[in-house]
Amino acid sequence: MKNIELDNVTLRFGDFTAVRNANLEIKAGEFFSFLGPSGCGKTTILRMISGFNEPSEGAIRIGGQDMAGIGPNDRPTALIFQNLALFPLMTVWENIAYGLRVRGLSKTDQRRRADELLDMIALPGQGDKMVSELSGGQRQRVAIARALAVEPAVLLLDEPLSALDLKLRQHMRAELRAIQQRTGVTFIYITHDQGEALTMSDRVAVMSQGELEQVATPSEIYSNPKTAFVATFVGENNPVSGHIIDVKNGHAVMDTAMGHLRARNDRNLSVGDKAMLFIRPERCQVANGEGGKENVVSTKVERLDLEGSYINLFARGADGGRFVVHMTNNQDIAHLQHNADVQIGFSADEAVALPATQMA
Amino acid sequence: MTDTTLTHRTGSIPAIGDWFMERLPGIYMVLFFLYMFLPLVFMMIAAFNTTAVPPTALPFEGFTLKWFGALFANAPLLAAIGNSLVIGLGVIVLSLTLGLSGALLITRLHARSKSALYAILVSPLLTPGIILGISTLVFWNSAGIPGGLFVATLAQSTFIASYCMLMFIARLQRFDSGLEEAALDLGASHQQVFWHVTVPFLKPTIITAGLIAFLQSFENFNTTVFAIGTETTLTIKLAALARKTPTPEVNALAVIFIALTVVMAILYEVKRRSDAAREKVMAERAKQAEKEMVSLDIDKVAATTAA
Amino acid sequence: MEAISSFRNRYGAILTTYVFVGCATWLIGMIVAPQLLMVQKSLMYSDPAAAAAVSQTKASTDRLFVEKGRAEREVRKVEADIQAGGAAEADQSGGGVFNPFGSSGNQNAGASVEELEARRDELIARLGQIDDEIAANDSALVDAEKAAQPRLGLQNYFELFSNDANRPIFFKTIWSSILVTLIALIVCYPVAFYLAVSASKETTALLMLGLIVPYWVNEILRTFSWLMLLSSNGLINQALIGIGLADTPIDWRSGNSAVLIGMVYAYILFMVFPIYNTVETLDKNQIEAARDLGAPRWMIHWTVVIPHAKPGIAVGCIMTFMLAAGSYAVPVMLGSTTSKWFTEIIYDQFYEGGNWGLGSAYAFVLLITCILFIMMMMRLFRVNLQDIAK
Repeated sequence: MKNIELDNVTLRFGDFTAVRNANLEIKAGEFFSFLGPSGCGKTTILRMISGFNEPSEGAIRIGGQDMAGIGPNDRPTALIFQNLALFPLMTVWENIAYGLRVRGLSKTDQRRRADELLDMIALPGQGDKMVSELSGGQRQRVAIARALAVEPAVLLLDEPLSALDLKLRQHMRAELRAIQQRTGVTFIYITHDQGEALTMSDRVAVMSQGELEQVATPSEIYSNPKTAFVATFVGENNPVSGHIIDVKNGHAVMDTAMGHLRARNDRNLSVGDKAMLFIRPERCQVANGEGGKENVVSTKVERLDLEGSYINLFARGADGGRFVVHMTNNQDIAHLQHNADVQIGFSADEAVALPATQMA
Repeated sequence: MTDTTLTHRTGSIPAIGDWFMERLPGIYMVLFFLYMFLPLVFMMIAAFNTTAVPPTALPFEGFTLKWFGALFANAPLLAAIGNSLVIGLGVIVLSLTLGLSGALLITRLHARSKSALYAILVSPLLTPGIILGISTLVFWNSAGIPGGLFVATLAQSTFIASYCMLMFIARLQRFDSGLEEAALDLGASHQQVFWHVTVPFLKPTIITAGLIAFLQSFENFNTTVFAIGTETTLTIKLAALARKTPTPEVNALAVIFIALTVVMAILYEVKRRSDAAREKVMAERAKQAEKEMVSLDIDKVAATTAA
Repeated sequence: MEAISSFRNRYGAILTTYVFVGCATWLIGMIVAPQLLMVQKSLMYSDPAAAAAVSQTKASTDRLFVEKGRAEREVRKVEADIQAGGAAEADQSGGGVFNPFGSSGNQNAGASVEELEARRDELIARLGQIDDEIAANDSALVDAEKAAQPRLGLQNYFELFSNDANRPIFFKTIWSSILVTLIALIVCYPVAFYLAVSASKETTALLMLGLIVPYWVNEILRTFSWLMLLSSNGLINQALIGIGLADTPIDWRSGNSAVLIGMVYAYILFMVFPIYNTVETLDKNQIEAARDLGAPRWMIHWTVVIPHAKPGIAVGCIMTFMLAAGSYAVPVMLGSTTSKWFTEIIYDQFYEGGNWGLGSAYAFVLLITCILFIMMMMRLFRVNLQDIAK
């Protein structure tokens, strides 16, 4: 089994730094995702792992072996391209067997293996079709079969679902996850869609502007974001800015325009630091003086959106900042008229204080 | 609707004027095509006329095929065809090779000097043919090689390669370079990528560019006449024959040339239509497949990939 | 360099070598170096007077050698006669009877030995003179050859503008080529517009096919078809006489008209296709919109279609002008000795005059003219090379 290590990897294109000091170890058999907005450098990392770009600094190791100077054709990786890059002039089975053809397998062996894989991807007997005769989902599967045919240690997927419509995309997510679990091949998945990253992955790396912001399990990423970027890029979050006035027992007290607020101090901020407090909308409650919560902020109702199972309450705080609360749809909302005063409460353990850096 | 606005504005134009204005473009097109084709038609008719020297379409004194027979008995002319074929084949090989190298460099090199390179490589198309013939002649003559088939082949290839390059560039711009990366990623060597992915994609262009290169070479006069020295080609022989002592053999040759051109044009059109039709069928089937999407049997996946 | 190494990483060593060697061969070996060599040749000028002097001196030396040979033969004969002084007289009495044709031309016959000796001395003196003259010639030849050596200079270019026969032909060629370009533009614009805008898709496809056929017919044959039509008993003259517009056949070929007619016909399609290609990309709604706003026809063309078709018009004009100015096929077939084209003058320098330097200079002038025309059109229509190559 082959682990993949990125050791202080940096890639520069002229003056532009696409990836900066990436350190990471991906374990064999893991479903690992790189999540980030377009242009954050995630595709560049993928191209470096597959060998289309060489790092300017640092090293990439697969199974302990340094990949410097080894071309994409000699690496134990297979890449699934964003547009799939199926060969339009070859039939479906020739596409699937291409990796075997260049390895010198006999035509009958190629065909047999291609037929097996066609069975696997639920396209039995379709080997003699041209790629242009297949639907989007079928092409997707052919691309996966073509990559798996060469039995790679690592399968790299570059936003392979982005061209599909929503329903098919959700369906393919489940298929991809299942294929990964059953084959045990390491999947490295690139996406800007947090839903894809969080549902499929064992671990996720969130990237912004060429840097790894946080590498953790999906639930860790969601509940314990390490940077302001992660907090705002993954899921929704209410930001409140201020500075630290007290720290104790792993908690920090912040002075904000909405008063003094307490939050977890996971990043060990010190008194005087500028900070951002983040609280998820579903972790807030409408308090109305009942007390019990450590933090209460006074706001005015802006509007209510009925989403079905829950209700979105949009409120505006004293500093003009917006506050969103997801309320379950079983509460009395009669008093939440426009401009009505509303107290929003949340516990200190649910909120997190992070350094005031760039948000998504 | 717009015509009514116009008539309202100029309401007094008599009906006959309207009728004429409406048909003017059509009449113009008919006249233009008559202008394009009548000279060729008269030239072809003269090939079947018994009148000998000088060849003429009218008066038509009697139908004959004897000029075709005379044409095939004309040994110097046939020898000239041989030279034309040799040069043509040389030009195909040279122009495709050079044109493709230029196209690959220009579409794939990421350097600032690219536009200057492009300008120089297309410049032969904007240079009068005789200049290319003269410069090639002077160049090789100074190396002790006089004008002849070799120099003519090189002189023609100088600009025919530019045509090929432009065709290759147009094709390569529609090429998804991801296909090459995919093949490389699946373990193909650089040469395998080129022969398995790039060349098949370029194949239609290789065929048309080769054909066009041959035709350009076969018909070329202005460049060849300078570079050919004491040798001759069909086109040069034809010019000499047509100018000095035109006989209906020239017309017979014209009939053959034009017939071949028409046949090729028709074949091209038929091919274009059948390609379009096939693409349509493929897209139709893809749409059908979309509806018949079957779910993946995950256990089967495990079974096959474990094997 | 970095670009090359990244190219190599991407496409492998063999393909990279092919691409770079191919391009270098073509660019340097077939385009740049031949042009430079042609320019260099055009700058090599040899003085015609010096060349004449060289050949004169050589001819005079040749004559002297002939005379020397003759004198030497005579000296040998005279000496032989002196040796056999008496025998010559005896020989003469006998030989005179038996061989009336023998010793013919022997002026020495019957001459005394003294006379023969005097003749010999005279001949030897002459031989000395001849040797002196040959030596003088040889040294003169060295100087003359030095003077006749091709030298670097612009004289070949000055020659064109001082040559009263060729200069007018050069300007006529330029002017006529512009005329051909203009006629082709005026004739083609409506055709291209009709094909691109008015005709239905099916009609256009068919008509384009109809244009491609004559386009691919050999330039010589297209010209020959007009040679037939324009000859003195050709169809055009038959028709003109038939309807009474002319009494005797018009000799189209003695003037420039046949060449101009042939050129418009031969190169007109190079104007149609580029204009068609650009007009075709015009959003037809723009025409509709202009019409709805009440713009008259000419104004729609002037303000909507022509500005859009500019690159096509520029390319068409450049191609037509370049082909016309550089045409050798059409003038050589349709012209006559009284209507020469500049390219024919160039050809004569190479294959009849044998003055390659002058021919190269003329060719370079033609090339510069075409480049100037291209630059002018690019400036005028504000297009760049990329547009042209399409």
